[in-house]
Amino acid sequence: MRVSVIVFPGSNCDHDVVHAFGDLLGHSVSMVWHRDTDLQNPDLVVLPGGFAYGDYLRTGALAKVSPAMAEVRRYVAKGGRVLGICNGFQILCEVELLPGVLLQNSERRFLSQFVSLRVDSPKSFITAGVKEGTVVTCPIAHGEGNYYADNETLKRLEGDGRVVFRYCDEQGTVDPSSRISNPNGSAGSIAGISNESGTVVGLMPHPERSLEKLVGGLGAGSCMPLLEHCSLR
Amino acid sequence: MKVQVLIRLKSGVLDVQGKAVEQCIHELSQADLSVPDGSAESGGAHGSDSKAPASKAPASKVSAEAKSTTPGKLLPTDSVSQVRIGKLVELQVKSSSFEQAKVLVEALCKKLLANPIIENYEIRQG
Repeated sequence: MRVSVIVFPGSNCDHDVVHAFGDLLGHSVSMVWHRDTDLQNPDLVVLPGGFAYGDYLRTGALAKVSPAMAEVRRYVAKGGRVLGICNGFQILCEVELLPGVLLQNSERRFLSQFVSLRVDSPKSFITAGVKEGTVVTCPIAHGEGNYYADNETLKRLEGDGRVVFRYCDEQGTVDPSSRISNPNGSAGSIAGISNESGTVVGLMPHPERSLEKLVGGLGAGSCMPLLEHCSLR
Repeated sequence: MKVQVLIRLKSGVLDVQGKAVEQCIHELSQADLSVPDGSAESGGAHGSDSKAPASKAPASKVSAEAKSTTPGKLLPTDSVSQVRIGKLVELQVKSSSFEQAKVLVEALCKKLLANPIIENYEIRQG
């Protein structure tokens, strides 16, 4: 699989993504500077975490003017797959490839911790073939991960099976009102969503950071199967 | 032509920054103004390599001045609530009239300056 990682000024998780898809999963990975218009003919585009444009104006807001993002839109229109991680998810919402917005964490703290995620939909490319209800462990590191959308949008996401991941406790129980299992206060404990066709996925947690034994990323609850699924057709 | 855009969070959208500031306002309103804030002592710390403690004389001078003003709290308790923080964007726009400038700035607001899911905007002449 050919993977292209878009690098914005302020992105800081691009190298982790390259390491994950390139070194660990053996794919061919290109880094595409945000001003480039050649996406390098990818099978998957990844928008990495970080602070693109310094989070100026609003997190992810200024990325919409990057020439590479215009190409990403064209690529998505042709059925291309995009994975937006953390800041990448925020960017996908700002360019309206995904609905909703990420607000500041409800508890007003930057959260740097492990969370449990429940796979709630097999409809996206990252969860196709993964059993619904599977719980994975993943790190989060964000100050603005509180997913918000109006009620109409939330109903649509839920009804169409577009909520891909939800924050949960270690047993897989979801409780949006719990500060423990839903630390950033996201609506419906939503951690990740997809577009209608399941070709664009955004999630706040960082699966690419927890794929190696050294960081406890293997074994039960590993995120590895999710990234492995990205290359399935 | 100078144009100003006020961007505010829609009511009902959680304003974490506003809540944090409101919290600080409450704490500040409880602050006892007769206690010197030590600003005279901290002057010695700026750019100085000296580890010598600040002299006592300036501190007592500050407290004497503070005591001469009305002691007590900055604000009555619970006098401030519902703090919401927005943004002001100022632009210079080439146009022959404010109405014309407003059309241009409105497009900018919809496209970039404001996120319509969570923000309202107000355009006015600067």
